[in-house]
Amino acid sequence: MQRYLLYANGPDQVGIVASVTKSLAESNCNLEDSRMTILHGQFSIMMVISIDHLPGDDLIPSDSDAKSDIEATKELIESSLSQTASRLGLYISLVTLYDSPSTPMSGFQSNVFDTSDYLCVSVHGADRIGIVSSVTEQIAKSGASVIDLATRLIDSSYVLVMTVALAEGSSTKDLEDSLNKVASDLGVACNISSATPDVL
Amino acid sequence: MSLRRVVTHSEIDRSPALAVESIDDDCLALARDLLDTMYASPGCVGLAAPQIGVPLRAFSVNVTGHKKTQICHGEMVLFNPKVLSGSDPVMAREGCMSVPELTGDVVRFENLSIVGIDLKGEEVMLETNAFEARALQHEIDHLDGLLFLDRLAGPGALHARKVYK
Repeated sequence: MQRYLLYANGPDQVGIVASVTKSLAESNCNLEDSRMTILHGQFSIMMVISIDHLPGDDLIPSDSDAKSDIEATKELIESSLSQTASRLGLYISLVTLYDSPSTPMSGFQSNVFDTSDYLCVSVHGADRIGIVSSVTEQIAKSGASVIDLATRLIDSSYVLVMTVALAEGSSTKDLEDSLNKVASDLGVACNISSATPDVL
Repeated sequence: MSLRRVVTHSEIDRSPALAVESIDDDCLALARDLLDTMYASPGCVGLAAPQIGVPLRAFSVNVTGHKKTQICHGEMVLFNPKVLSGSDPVMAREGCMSVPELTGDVVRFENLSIVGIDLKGEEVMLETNAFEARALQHEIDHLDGLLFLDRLAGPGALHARKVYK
């Protein structure tokens, strides 16, 4: 089995997801994780797709010797999507997912952090250049990782909300203190809370 | 009747509001302004003093007739409110006069017990639930310099308000 990351964007209209996923299904592609959103009327989606074999074709080898087969399959999937892309005015691209640049991907490693360490960081205030860069630079310096992020600019007000995974052994208090200093310099408010855990 | 301008979230004073020492004429005037401004604002069920630029621990709330209201104490103005206890956290969407373009998913206690000072200067204890409990927690947050934006459940919890009033 081989996985690819599919990215598509274009002007929003009814039926984009239906058309793209129909084309993928006809190419024997399985839709795994995905995320879509619409920003200022622009549709955008990222999805991880997997494929065992093209319709009527043999299994796709998944060892490192099969790179040419993997890339050929990618081109066939792209080709099957081209009509849909053209009809809907979409830009579509596929990226082959590998564990490393030379090795085909053997497992999906999206979750390398302990979710109990997830924090929700909220920053808001008057808009100015550099809010996201300054805050995320401090997060990166602490070794923490941004897992999810959304921003909104409404008139002259700016809101940044992130889910952040703390680095192993680092403390929420240290991150909070350093981010409060950055926020104070920017003249914006910053608040950190534990990300809401899943409750069954 | 005195309508006050509601300050936006980037202008609002983030420092904790000051306790009211006694219910004097200034407090009664503040209460009137809070109620007048709240009732003049479509869909508004609560307003805290810092939202009209007054750094005092006071708010007005009235959730009468709202579809999510269960227990309802009608119109109220409370000074120096404190949460005594809360239970059963639940997530729901809320908005704010100081953040008129956005709404957010926030976890609040479903059942709440608070104490405060009423317009007669008497201490009152309220036990409530559902929408009134959410409104009270939202207003008390304002008195501590917090907005719903500070309590969002995550990036997916921030939404553009669909109907701009």
